[in-house]
Amino acid sequence: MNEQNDKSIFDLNLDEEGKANLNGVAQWANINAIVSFIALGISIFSTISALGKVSRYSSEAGGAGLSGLLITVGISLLLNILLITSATNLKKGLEQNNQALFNIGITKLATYFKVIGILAIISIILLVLFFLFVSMFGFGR
Amino acid sequence: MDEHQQDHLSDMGLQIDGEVRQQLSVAGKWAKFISILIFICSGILLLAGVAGGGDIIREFKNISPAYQSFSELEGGILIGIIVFIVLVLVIMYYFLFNFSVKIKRALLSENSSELNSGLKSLKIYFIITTIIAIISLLSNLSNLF
Repeated sequence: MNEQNDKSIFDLNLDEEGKANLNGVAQWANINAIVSFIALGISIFSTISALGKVSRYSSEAGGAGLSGLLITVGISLLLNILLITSATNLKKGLEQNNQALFNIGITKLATYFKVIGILAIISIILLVLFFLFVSMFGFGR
Repeated sequence: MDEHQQDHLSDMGLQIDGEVRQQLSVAGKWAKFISILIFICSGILLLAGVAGGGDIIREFKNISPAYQSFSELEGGILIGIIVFIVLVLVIMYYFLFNFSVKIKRALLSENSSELNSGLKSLKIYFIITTIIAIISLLSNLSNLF
C-alpha cells in the first residue's frame, strides 16, 4: 500500500520539455502582470481625471465612480500580484532546482485561477440580480 | 566539486509531489470552470449579436446622440465585430480548457507527455492574453494622448 502511494506521488517528474514549457508560462505570466500594472496605472489616471470633470456636475456620480475605481484597483492588484509572485517563484524554482519555490509558484498559480473563478461566480450572481431587478421594475420606471 | 554537486542536484529534478499535484488539480478545475463559462457567454453573445444586432444599433441611436458614430455601423459590420470577438475568446479559452483536461489526464495516468502538453497549452493561453493586454494598453494610450 505504502509502495503504491509512493509510486503515485513520485512517478510524475518534470522533464526538460516540461521545464521549458513552465519557464515559458512564467515568462509570459510575468509580462502579462507587468502590462496589466501599467494598464491599471493608466486607467487610474484617466478615471480620476474623468471623475474630476463629472463631480463638478454630480457629487453622487463622482462617489459612485470612485468606489468603482477602488474595487477595480483592488481586484486588479490582487490578481496581478498573485500572477507576478507565481511567475517569479516558478522561474526561480526552475533555475535553482528549488522544490519549495516551485511549489509556491504552482500554489499561487492555482490561487490565481481560483480567484478569477470566484469573481466570475460573483459576476454571474450580480448579473442575474440585475436582470431580475430590470424585469421586475423595468428601465427607469 | 561545486560543478559535480550542481550536476547531482539537476539530476534529481523537480518533483510533481503531493502538494504540486493538489494545486495543479485545483488550477485545472478552476481553469475548466472559467473556460466553460466563457464558452457559454460567447455563445450567448453570438446569439444576441446575430439575432438582435439591428435592434442594438437602433437602441444606441435612441439613447443618446453621442452614440451616433456607433449607430452608423451597418448591422453586418456589428455582427462581424461580435463574431471576431467571440472567435478570439473561444480560441483563447480553448487553450485554458485544454490545459485543464490534459493536466487532469496527466495526474490520473502519470503521463509526462500529457503534462507537457497541458503546460504548453497554458503557455499559449498566457501568450494570447498578454498580446491582447498589450493591444488594449496601446489602444488606451492612444486614446489618452
